[in-house]
Amino acid sequence: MRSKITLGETKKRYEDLRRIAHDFTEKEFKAYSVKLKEISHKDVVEADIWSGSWNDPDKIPTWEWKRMYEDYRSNNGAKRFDTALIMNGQLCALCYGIPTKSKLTLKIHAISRNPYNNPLKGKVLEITLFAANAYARLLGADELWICNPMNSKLIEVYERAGYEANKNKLNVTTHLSLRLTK
Amino acid sequence: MNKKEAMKILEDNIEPMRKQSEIHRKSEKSLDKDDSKVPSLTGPKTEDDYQDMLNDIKESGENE
Repeated sequence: MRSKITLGETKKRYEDLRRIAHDFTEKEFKAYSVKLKEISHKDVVEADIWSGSWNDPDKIPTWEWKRMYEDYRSNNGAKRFDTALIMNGQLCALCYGIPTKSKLTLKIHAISRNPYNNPLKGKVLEITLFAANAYARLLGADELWICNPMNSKLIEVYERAGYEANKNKLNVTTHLSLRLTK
Repeated sequence: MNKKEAMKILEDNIEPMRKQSEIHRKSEKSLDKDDSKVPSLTGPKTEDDYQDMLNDIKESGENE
């Protein structure tokens, strides 16, 4: 008879997988000296300040990172993809994602980057999505989704990166999907 | 899955991961031609989008 896995064991299991994905990504990008870790409360407080000085609704985050942090760290978020990029002690970017119940798809829900003197400028997607790709493969997923891209320019950018735009009945792109090739 | 098994999965898939990563780098470069200081790359735009995200989190937490 299979013993029941406790919530604590589930949390530990996915925390270990996130750590492996982070370590593997740090090693891959060692030339950048970037550190990857889980998002802390201090990080989300800082990220909410980034958006405070932007007026263009196509470019500012419309959600609060603090609220997302609480929701993602609930018991239901145990399997989350959770990454902060740090370089020289500076927070450069944040990303949250969650796998589907079957774990065949990893959905990326939010990515923000530091708009002020970011030493990883131009490298945020490269590093963040490499780590997400690694975590997805550890889960056994075969698709990565980018949910709710912020604007049409970003949709074009992701489409050029090989993602397929998926639209709803109102012709609004709800997510972009990428097959994880072997 | 132990760490050794996990590392083997990643090492076996490193080439497609690198290929996709290179495309992401070019994409961000292209985005930055217009505005290199856009802080948000993706995220829930409306409260409905946020609720969809919460449903995804809830579904992910259900027992398999």
